[in-house]
Amino acid sequence: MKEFFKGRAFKILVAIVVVLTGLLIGNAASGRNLSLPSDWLGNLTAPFQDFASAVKGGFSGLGVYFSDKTATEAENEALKAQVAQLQQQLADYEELQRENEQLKEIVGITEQRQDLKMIGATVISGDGGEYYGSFTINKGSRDGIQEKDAVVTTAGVVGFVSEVSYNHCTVTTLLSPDCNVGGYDIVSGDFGVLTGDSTLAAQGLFKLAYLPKGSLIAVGNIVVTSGLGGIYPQGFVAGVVQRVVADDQGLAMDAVLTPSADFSNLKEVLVVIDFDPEGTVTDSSVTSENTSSGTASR
Amino acid sequence: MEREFSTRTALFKWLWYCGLGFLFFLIQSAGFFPPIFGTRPNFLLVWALLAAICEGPYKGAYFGLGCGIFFDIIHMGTAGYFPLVMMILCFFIGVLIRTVMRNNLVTALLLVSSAIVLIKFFEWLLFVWLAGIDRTTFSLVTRTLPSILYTAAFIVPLYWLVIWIKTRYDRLSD
Repeated sequence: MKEFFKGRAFKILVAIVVVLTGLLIGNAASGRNLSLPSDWLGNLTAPFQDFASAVKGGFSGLGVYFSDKTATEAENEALKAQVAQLQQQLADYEELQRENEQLKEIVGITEQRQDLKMIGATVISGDGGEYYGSFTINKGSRDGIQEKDAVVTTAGVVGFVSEVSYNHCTVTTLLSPDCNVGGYDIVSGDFGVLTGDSTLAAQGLFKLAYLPKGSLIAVGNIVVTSGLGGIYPQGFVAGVVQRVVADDQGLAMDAVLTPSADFSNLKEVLVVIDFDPEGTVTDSSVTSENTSSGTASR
Repeated sequence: MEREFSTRTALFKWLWYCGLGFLFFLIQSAGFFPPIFGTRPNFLLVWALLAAICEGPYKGAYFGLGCGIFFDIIHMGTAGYFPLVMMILCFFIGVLIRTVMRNNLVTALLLVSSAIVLIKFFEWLLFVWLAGIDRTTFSLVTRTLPSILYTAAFIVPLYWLVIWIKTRYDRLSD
């Protein structure tokens, strides 16, 4: 066995291990999530990842086509039953329409938010290995993206840009405890902090924390971003209240939220690269490169 | 002439290893396999460790380093952990196979499974437990363990693949 541990080859290996250990410690100390070699290589591989992501999208579509084919008969029967049900629901149509109008005012779609400058991006990597569903998108500093830019879909808030490279960047979702965004319940008007923890993240949920103890927040209420802190523009839907619980210390309340965007199935997102914290228009030409980026999930 | 032929077959063999490694990187990156408990299989880990079993400690270590760098790109928040740990483990697995063990399916299963457990456990230790993330045991049970099992499920098919490549090109060079 001795021959493995003497000689030049082993010394070179030890030197590389020392360098890698130094890089790891340096990254940990500086709070970087990506090592330098991976960052550089990531710039080269991003187009390939983009391509693989597109191929996967194609396969998913094919799968849906065939499964639809085989399920057509059953679906036809179900649809007939649905038609009868929908006729009943027509009576509630007017009320739903009014509610829809109200929701449209809240949802920050591109057309309605002329005060925001956004670019569309495609999710190119998200292997599910990360505890809080972080993912990579195919836009980076060359497209004007900076750290802490907000990432949204038409369905609502997704997270923020935590690491920027030349042609790609990493997005940390609302499920992560690293995400601390101001939010409020539009019914009660109570303010809190949108953040996550590992237990909720495992269920795909997050919370509006630090609500006042006597908060009137209730199940089913919609929570939107408050704009406080300057990362997120005001008025983006974050999620819907699923349950309300006392926090660990019993001093405040937490509202557990179901995200409005489906984090596990994102394909296209919008990155807010500029906005006016006061809500006034800074640049009316919204640079959404990909208008289809409005679709939040597959 | 013979040496040139041997070099060429070795080159083709490593092209296979690297090409398939890159393919696994893309598969892992795009998430082709359905998630189980929110985790997907880590093909690059298994591929690098199996290559080290077949190719020995030094070549295996450098291949492990390369796969680790690629792994680092898609596995966010680990800041250079995978290149380091994969290089070290590939080296030691290569040493074990060259000195005290034989290269067969049972040893491959044993060594690669143990290495995956070590890598994933230390990842959890460094980036969850020591990082002070709340409910560490919960993360270990609901994320780390499913990830280990899902990844280990691919050891056998990938072992046959790596053996097929090795025997095909080694036979040619012989």
